[in-house]
Amino acid sequence: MASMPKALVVGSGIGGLSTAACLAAKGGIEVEVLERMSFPGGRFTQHDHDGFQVPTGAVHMIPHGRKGPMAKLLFGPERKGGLNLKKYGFEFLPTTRFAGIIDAKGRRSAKGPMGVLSWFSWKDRMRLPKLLATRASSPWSNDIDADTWMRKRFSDDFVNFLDAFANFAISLRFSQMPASTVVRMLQNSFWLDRPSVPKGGCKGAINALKKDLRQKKVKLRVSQEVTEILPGSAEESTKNHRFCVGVRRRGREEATWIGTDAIVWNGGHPNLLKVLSDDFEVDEIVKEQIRDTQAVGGIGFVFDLDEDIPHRDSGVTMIPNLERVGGYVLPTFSDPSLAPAGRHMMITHQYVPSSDIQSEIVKGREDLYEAIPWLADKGEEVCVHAYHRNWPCNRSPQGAELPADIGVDGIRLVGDGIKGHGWMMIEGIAANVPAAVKDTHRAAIDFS
Amino acid sequence: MQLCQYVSEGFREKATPGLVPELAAGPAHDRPQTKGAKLQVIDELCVGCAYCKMSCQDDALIVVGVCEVVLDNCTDCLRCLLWCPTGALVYK
Repeated sequence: MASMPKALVVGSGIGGLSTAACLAAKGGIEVEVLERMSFPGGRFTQHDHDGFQVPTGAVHMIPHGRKGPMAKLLFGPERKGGLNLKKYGFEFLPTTRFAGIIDAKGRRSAKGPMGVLSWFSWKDRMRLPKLLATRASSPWSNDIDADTWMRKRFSDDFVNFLDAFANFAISLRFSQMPASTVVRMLQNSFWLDRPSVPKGGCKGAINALKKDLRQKKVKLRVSQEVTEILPGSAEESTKNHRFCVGVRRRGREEATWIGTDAIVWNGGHPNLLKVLSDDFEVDEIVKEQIRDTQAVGGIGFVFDLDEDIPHRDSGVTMIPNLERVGGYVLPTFSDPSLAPAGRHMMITHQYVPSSDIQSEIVKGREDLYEAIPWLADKGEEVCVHAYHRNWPCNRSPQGAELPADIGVDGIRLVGDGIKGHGWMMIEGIAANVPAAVKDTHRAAIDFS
Repeated sequence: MQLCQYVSEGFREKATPGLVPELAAGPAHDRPQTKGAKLQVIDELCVGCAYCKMSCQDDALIVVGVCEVVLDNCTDCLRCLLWCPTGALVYK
């Protein structure tokens, strides 16, 4: 009896899991997910630490809330390629304010983008429509760095505020990004919804996806590392498939072979090149682009806060002009279940301009205590996360525009390494999923 | 090594980030199985993500940029080994 065509999803980050669920929804193929770590979710989940739901990387934030690509993917109707996860009780909880700022005038917050604009000069407000109308749906051929581009058009105060936002959200400063990327990001932020907190935190989304996968009979196996990708003909047991994939249980020496007709790779470009055998040709230009793309680092502090802190909303607060930290968020004002009763949780983020991670942490801590006057009395550090060297495995800087297709038939990449142009954080991951689903489904069916 | 495999199998498809489930075998795995073996960190591999600290229920790990083991608190339960994304924690 002929078996169904098969698609293998490698990596169970939010990109991998949502792609797997969408592929299974299309039907006609068997879908399986492999995860190297002992838990699914990658950087979009959380650990329970004394009742604080400490995220593994994301900051419990969906940048464009209920109108962005992630909302469309997770909550859209199934007939339009969405996953309708609301049926499992999962939803996005809007932040109580759009954004905030701490500057010389103290802390202020705004309900929407127009409220944010009121903090800045008339000149900035008058020039904004031109920025919103600038064509930036794809990278510009004559791109310059965003800092230079923005400072020619807007006041330093306005640019510094937005630069702090970039630092918080994507671990990069304007000077490190192409102008077209930043323009598109700002346009998306202006036109779409205020940020949301996933109900139950990042893990709320992962749990809903796991339920969906279970219902669609998709196998999710953890502690399984992919060691090699060979042509299907390499092993007798996989010869009817396009690929023969070596899979090793973590901690074991020997690998077993799995046959598959299409692969969705959610483990980063460099790792894919490492496991892909020489039987598959990858263009030298693509290889070079991957080699030359340096993943960005980031540092995040998590603080346990008293109930009676003066800050009372969950909007992202930017702190311009600090040496390292870009801003912070208090998701517990949208979802109190993310901290023990009567406590709040603050998550900060900063970029990492040097390789001396310990001194970067010290600088970040100094920034925070200096900028937030009540922090020393009302807060206690729960932990500090750092991201540098080779973790997370799947990331590339915003604007790097690494390809989702490296030219090997049947292999498609998803995840943080392939964010759609101008879509930040998780929205970038979601923006790439529909095309990945379409390509992978077709590749699996075509081969069989 | 055998102990690592045993713990790994115990957690297979059960471990989720959050509270780590108890092993069916009970607390026996909390005791050192190999004389002289202890939890160690390979600094070059540690990325400071603090996943190990989150999984540790004995306050045996400090993570500020890189991970340090507080051996007096470590009960050799090896949960952290399963959570480390880069293989920076070793038991030898």
